[in-house]
Amino acid sequence: MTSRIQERNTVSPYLTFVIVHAMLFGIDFLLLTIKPVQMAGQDAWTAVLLCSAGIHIVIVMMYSFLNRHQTDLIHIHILLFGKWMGWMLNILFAGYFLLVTVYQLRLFIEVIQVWVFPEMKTWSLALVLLLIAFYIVSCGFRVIVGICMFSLLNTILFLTIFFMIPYFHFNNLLPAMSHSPHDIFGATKELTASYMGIEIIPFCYPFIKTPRKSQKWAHWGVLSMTFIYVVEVIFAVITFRPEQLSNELWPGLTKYKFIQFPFVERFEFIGSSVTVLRLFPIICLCIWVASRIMKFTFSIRQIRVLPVLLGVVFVATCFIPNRIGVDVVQSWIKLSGISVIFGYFPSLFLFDILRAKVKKTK
Amino acid sequence: MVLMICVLLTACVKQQILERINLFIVAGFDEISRDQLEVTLAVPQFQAGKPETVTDQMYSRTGHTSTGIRDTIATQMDKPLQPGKLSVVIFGSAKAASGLKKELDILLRNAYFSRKIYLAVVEGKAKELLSEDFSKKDEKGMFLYQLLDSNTRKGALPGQNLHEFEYALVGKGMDSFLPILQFHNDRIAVTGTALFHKDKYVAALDLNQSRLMKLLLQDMNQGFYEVKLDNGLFLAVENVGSSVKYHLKNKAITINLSMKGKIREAEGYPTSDEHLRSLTKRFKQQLIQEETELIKTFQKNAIDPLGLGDFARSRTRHWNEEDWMRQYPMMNVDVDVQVNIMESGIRQ
Repeated sequence: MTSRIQERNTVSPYLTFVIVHAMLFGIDFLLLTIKPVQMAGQDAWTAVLLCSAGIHIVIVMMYSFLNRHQTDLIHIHILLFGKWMGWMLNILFAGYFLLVTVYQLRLFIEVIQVWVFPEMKTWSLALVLLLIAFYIVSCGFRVIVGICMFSLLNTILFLTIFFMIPYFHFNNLLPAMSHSPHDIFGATKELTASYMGIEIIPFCYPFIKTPRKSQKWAHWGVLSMTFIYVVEVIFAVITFRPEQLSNELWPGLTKYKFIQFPFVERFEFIGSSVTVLRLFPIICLCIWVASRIMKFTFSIRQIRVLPVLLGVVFVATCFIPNRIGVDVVQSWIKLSGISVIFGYFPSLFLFDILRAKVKKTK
Repeated sequence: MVLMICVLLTACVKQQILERINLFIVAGFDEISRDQLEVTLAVPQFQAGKPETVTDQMYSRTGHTSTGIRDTIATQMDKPLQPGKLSVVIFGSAKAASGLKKELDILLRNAYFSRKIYLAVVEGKAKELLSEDFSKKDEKGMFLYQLLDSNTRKGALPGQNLHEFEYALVGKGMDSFLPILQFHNDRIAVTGTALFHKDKYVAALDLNQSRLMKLLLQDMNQGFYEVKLDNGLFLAVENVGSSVKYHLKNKAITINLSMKGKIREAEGYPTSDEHLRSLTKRFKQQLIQEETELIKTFQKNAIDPLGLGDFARSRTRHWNEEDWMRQYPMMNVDVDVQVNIMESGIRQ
């Protein structure tokens, strides 16, 4: 049951960079800084570097078992754990990706409701966004990667930091390294949630032309995001007091409140609406992976299962009523994401090595 | 089809067109009693066809929460009230003295308000100041905004906007301050600086002290300072570039202020080398004396608008706010001034 992807459906290896970049530059980015800065204060940037190092190691492990089997995680599961166990793991992963979709979608709708249109209904926006997502996903993987390209545009918004220069207090970075390792590891754990998204790579693997070459690009993607995270964390530390940050919900959007142009009085309206560019790559990739898992599990066509999945996402999104609900889902995602990235992938890697060794001795 | 739906759905939320809403640029808060608040809004009224004539309509109401008051004010209006353009918030001195926490929360919580809103304290009541006819040409809110902008952010007086005020309020080892506005002889003027302990207005500085305070807050390249000579003569020196640095050594803080000056007014005083030297010396002594007095005032009130505590935090491991505040009133703060008179204008 190995699947060969036709070459016209594959993408170039360097586009792995775009995929990783888009997955990591999600809407979570807007609230990235609060918890790490609360825990590790001015030393939060070391936590970003630590976390990034861990992610690089996980990517190396991931590519090790992917390169050995030359197929995606769906098939590796069935290969390693047999039919039933593999199916169950695949379904779990599909559920996880659907949950990520629901969370990202609800978070975006919340941003719009809080910052731009308080009277906007959750269902109406969710419906429109999911219809567009259906349209994109049904066109296939190459189109989704094209949409991921839009996520790169967000990097331009990053320049808005220059408007904040009058409010910088570089003294806030001192005294350096005054937090205990315990605090820094706590912050690292919080940051893992921001690096969630690399778990999409094992599923996209067969869709990359010469997949072995893509590993380099995955590392570059993580490196570029590490740089962006470090700048964002340092920016938050030198502009806000930690006490101020703990009162904020979206520090990433609050910074737009300082920008005024003669022609755009309130930049945060643009800033919060543009987050839609971060939303689409993530929800499209996640839904695509979920539908692909369904395709192999229940042997039905991907386009058939897509409306069902979108319907599930729609209903689930509408069932998250408020901030507290979003927070609860966020804590689930964090927990499952950390256990997938730092728990499941390394153990799969070890299991795979052991299995190969055992086979060889036989 | 999907694209069509998107286009159709764009108009599904409430529209707000400028001619059909009431904006307000300035809001005033006063205290009536312990739990009663008076909010005053100056709402500009535009006249069709004559864009240059803007008149302000004052709306004022009392109540318990400002949002509730805004609601009752809205009942007097023909058009819905929109808070998006608020740029200046002024507080009556009684309100400021009893604490601004609640009002700050309103401004910080609402997604409509910018973080660059200017805050100021009014000598007396905010409502009375707003009802005076001080601005002949501009709208009152815009006038106040520009007044505060040119005098505090771009000028020689200290001031804070909403973000900076909150920063100093919640930050450890620093206290916030705001400019004081006063209505006098048909004009509004910035007359000094209100110093805050936590969110309460506790002491005031006059204009001269405010200028000196800004010298210690940040690097400056403007401002005029009068020098009194021994023979009773007054000269004026313009600051063309000053820089300030703090140093912490053995639990004592030294403030290094170095200033490049330019003589602006020296009638009856020769500007030869020797005279310049004595002028420099005199100016330096005067600055040291005045700045030291200023810091003594801060220490006496146990407030720290310069953020010396925050500076000490950044230079000490395991800094503790309580210990610091215990030492602070008795602490030794030295001011070291260097003055360099560069030019004397275009005549001798």
